[in-house]
Amino acid sequence: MTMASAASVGSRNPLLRAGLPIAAFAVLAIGFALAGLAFGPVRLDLAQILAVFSGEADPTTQAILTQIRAPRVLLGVAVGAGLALSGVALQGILRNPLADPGLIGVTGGAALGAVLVIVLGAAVLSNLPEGLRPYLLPFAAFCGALAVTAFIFAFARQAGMTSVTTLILAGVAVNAISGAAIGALVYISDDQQLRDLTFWSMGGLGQANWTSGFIATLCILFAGAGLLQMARALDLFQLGERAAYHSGVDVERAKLKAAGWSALAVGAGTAVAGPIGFIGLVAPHLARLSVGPSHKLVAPAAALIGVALVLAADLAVRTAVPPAEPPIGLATSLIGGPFFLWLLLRYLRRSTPHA
Amino acid sequence: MLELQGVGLRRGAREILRGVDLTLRPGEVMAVCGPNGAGKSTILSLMAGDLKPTAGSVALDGRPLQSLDAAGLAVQRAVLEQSPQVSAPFLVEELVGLGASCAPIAVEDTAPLVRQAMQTAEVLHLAQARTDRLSGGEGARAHLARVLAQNAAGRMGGGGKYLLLDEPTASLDLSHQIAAMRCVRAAAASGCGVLTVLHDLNLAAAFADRIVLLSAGAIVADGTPAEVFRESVLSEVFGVAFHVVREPEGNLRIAPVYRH
Repeated sequence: MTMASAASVGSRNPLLRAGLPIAAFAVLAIGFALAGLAFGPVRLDLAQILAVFSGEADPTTQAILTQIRAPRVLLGVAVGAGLALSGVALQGILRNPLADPGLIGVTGGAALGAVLVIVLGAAVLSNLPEGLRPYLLPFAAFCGALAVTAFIFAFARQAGMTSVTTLILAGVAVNAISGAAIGALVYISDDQQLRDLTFWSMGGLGQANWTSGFIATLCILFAGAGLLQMARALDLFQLGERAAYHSGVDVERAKLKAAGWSALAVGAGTAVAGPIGFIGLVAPHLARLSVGPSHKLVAPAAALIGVALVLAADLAVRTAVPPAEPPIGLATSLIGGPFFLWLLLRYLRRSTPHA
Repeated sequence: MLELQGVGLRRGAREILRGVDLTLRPGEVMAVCGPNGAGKSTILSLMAGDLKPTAGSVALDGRPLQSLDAAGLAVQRAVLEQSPQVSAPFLVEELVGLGASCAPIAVEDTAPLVRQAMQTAEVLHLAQARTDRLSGGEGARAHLARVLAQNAAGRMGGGGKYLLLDEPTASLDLSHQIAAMRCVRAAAASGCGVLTVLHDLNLAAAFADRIVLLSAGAIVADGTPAEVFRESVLSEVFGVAFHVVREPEGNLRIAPVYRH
């Protein structure tokens, strides 16, 4: 009887247990968003920010907030959530905590797509109607991300099984190839293109304006909604592909969906903010450590953590050595690199037999 | 009925199964026995829909298996793999809950169903334990509970008709082997057709209504335990001499004759 009651109490617990960390991450994300609005060359306080929203602020403050900082924060929210959710989906589908959109080449593919447009896109751009032009870069980045994702998934699939080791190694190779292709494109680009390229490839939210931020946010919103719906399938994937099928998951379709939505989220984010590493790796892990393995909790938690991390990194790079602004990737890699090493150690320890 | 008709499976030059006609009926426990590589798990995979036969057809209640999607199949049948695993540290209760999520049932029905499955598979006391910290046998029982939950949820959702178990007793101690086979009998008693691959012939003889003996990709005998487990048949299939005796309690006792 006591055992039975313990079990029934436990069954109500997970949501409650996860509620606190998720609330904490939400507070953190909102806090960094407010800080992102407040800090910069001109410091604004909460009263000034609120004044802008009610339309009572002076024109300068108004401009700083609505033209510079708000689009920047919006883009940060979109990019952080998109990268984190892609990481959740890829790690879930592959049953491997080391999968990351950057590591398996998705980000590299998106970068190649974007660089192609910057260097060779002039002809296409001039033929495009004015209204569609801003969409070409994200579209190319998405195509690059999707092409790489499709390629590595197909490549790593042998006899109906996707080998994770092959997939990660193929990702490394694809990264090298897209890196070389980007290098070649840089080599043939003219001065103006070189400038655009350099700014873009350093990565950062600083290039955000309302149009680019809005497009990226829209894409990521779609992708994020798609990925959030996959929570149960991702849970069942943890049983292995065959058992997931036995439990009612259309395995191939689920993989296609996860890969497609991830490519959209990563492609859109990378197109506007440049390649930002490690968020897709770190955020899902921190989420799992705090809310457990169930994906319907991991996904929202990871999205909030991703938002907080990207906004924090952005805040760090633009307040560290003003007025210079180091690339945001510097900050994320500084956190992500050591974290990845720690993860590898943990992973190795767990896979060696212990007493 | 889950039916294999004239089923063959060929992989390259290798013929894994040939000419298999087999019907799993509601309410029966069918044990599939035979030496390694005879095609036991292959038969189970064909019935589960993982593999498509290269000859013949598979039908579930008269409909070709291919016409059902993964979600529809999951309501009709539940499958326990040979070495089930889970690569995330779910709690046992969450793992079993995953099984219950395979059929569209009301939220308020889930918790009791999950608890019942855990009780039947004797893991209720482990409900709050993490699956990555269980012993081999405890893990096997947790997965059995998950599959029983899927079966029960399927029954609520108008299916739950078949259970396909690949060596459900493999990593269990003696008393849990018996308990697992009792779960199997209970499922059959409630109208479910159970196919289970078993290596332990005595367990098969004690708990199955029907034995299907496989050798080299073909069925060599199909009938009640007493009809199939004859010394001559067994020694031919396994290449080992056997003594088969009927014990006073009525059970068959099948013992290989060891020669050093």
